[in-house]
Amino acid sequence: MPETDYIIEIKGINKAFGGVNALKDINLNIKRGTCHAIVGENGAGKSTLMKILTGVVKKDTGAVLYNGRDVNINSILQAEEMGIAIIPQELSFVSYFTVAENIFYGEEPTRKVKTFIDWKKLFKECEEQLNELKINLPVKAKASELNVSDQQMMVIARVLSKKADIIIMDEPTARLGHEEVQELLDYIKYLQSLGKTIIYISHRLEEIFAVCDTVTIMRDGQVIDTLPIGDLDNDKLINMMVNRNTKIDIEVERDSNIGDVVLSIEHLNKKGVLKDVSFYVRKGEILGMFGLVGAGRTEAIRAVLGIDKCDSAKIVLEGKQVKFRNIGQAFDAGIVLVPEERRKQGILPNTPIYKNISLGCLENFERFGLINKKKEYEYAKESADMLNVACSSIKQTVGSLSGGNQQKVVISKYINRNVKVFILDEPTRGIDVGAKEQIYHVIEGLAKKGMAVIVVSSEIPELQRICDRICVMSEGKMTSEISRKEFIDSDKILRNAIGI
Amino acid sequence: MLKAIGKNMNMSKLVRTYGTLAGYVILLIAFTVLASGKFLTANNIITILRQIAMLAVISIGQTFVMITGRTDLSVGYSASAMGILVASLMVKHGGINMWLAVLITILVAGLAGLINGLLVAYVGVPDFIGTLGFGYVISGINQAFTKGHPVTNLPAEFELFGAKRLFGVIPNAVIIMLLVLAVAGVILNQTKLGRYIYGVGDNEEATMMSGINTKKTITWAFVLSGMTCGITAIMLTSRLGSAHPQAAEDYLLNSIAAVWLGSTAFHDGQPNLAGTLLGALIIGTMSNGLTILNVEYYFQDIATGLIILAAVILSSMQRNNRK
Repeated sequence: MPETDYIIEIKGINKAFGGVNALKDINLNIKRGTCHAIVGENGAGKSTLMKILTGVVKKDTGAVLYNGRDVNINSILQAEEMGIAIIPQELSFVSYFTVAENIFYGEEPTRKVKTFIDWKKLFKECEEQLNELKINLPVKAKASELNVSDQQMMVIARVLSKKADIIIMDEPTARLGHEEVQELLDYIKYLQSLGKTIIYISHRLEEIFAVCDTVTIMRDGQVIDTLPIGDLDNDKLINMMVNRNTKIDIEVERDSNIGDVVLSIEHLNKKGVLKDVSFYVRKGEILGMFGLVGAGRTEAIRAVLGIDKCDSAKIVLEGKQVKFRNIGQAFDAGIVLVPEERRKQGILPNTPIYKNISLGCLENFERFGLINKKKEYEYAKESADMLNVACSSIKQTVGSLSGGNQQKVVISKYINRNVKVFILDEPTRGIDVGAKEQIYHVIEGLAKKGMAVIVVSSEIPELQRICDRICVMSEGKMTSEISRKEFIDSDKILRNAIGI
Repeated sequence: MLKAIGKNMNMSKLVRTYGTLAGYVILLIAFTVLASGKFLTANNIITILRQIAMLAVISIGQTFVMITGRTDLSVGYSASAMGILVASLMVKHGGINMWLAVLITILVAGLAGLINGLLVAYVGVPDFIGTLGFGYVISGINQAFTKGHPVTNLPAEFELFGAKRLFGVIPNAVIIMLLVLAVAGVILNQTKLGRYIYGVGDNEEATMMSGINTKKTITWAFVLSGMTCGITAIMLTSRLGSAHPQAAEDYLLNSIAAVWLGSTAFHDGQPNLAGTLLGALIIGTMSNGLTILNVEYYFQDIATGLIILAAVILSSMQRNNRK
């Protein structure tokens, strides 16, 4: 018998990404054979903590005890060998392999000559194992032919076949229908009866109350509390998830000069992603769009700008109905986007700052088809100076700047252009606290200049800080609209996002 | 000047930027010493320049494509076919005016590049298989049309593009190369298209997100590559005095090699025109020097292959360093 009740003990773990503290002094014990929920808003640190447990990310300080022994986990493979497996939100498997091949991937039974797979044995053993695990799947079917729920069961079967003792499930119900959720929850109970330990990450509180024994609440990279489920109810849980301690001075009356509606979206539909989404934004206004991961905010913005296709939508810009076939057309019409993933979508890292800034409006410096570099440089300098981009020279490459300054460069691309609607998707993600405030000033400056501004964000305090109005999305629908007067009530924002 | 360089770069960056150039200088010194008097002569230098002119032109086109992170594998087939085209236009059925033939050839070559570009950028065919597949189509048409026979009896005035020299000294081919280099330099550094091509190479998605039509940009890169195939074909056919159905096939590997070699110089792992010219010079000098030293051709292939591999390894290391 192991000496301790706890299969995992996390002691004083800290983790920083480039100066930003993602995890601060995490202490957490997980009892063997329980279903342990970890809840918190986006960015609370749940994923980072799970990445440390599975060896994807290395901890800075602190210790992980597994069955009472201090362990260093350096890779997913090592975690799996130890018995810690994760079912990620984005399932990974080989879609043109059969179920049996996927489950036994890397450990296929072989013939006498070890190079050759013993197919008969593979299917037979897989069938037996699935029976034992009480999972009902067609072993010879291609993984791509299964529905999402069965694909997930296949991945679960794979980790169980590798003798996982701890199974981390990251938002396992995010893409399941109602009945499938129930089946999964029942299966989790069955796993517990086998003595397995489950770490369950979900935004859906009703599921947590249905299967979990213990709940750990995380916020801003810290563990707020760990409580038995019996001590909690919906209200209490939400109260703990929402950040009440950070003082934000929300001035209810603020000095916004809001004019007419500039852009309105009506009945935006995209099968399986967006359901009848409608919203509008006015001149000089900052509209916030809140929602949890997968709520459809980014998807809605991308569909409006013509980056992705949608099934139907009525988009009206300054009284005229418009439709954009690509983002270039949207830009020409005066709608610009600062994209969600700065490194992937926002910057040209190996290109000088000034060439980044001028990239989208080179035609302004053209004469006889040639670029007037002096004019271009002056324009870029002026734009960069307006936002106080901290650099030794705008000939520096953007990749060498800090995250906050990279974001300023992306914003400065549009600051001197004829922009009517300025959309920013997660504008302060991965930016440290001091620089965030600077970005907020920049965004407020855009609205003051008379632009209509939309800020998509997962951080409630951020939206409370800068917005005039917040729209909340949940599961592809626009669930509510909250005025500035109601902002104090963070609960309301989160409740609407969770859908209760 | 040196002080300024020292201020902005540390030693390793200096080596990364000018290392390949230094390597070339060492190569030149080595051949000068080994070939005692036969290598470093005005005549031989002009010979080298003339030899590399065509490779440089086709590699300049390849540079556009490779900056975007793609490769045009049709260049050898295309240049061979365009040689047949320009020759046939001038000699078959009485023939047409030379300048008209030249113009048509460059346009048709650009059209072939356009098809490559559309396949890769709009249809979404991976560049390797798309350009190789279309190259095969071109090659097939070429073989069907010529039945493998060369086209000969070109008009004497056609020698202008490859065989003739300005003032009897500077080969016209070198002048054409310099013209193409100048035009390419203006396109890459002074025009929107050039910026967009570099933008696609640095971060395609961010370039698209900046409102730029990246598909069109990529397509243009292939069109430019196609056009340089046409120009190379004209120069080569003029130089040889006849068009052979497979005359230009070596340019596929050599153009990619020149751009790879070039990407190790001046620009930190990114293909660039000065680098491409240096790459073509290295390949041409190797072949010239080894021939002067009477090294048999298969050893030449081995030596060239090794140098290309070394460049690719160096360039990959630079790219990894940059991340």
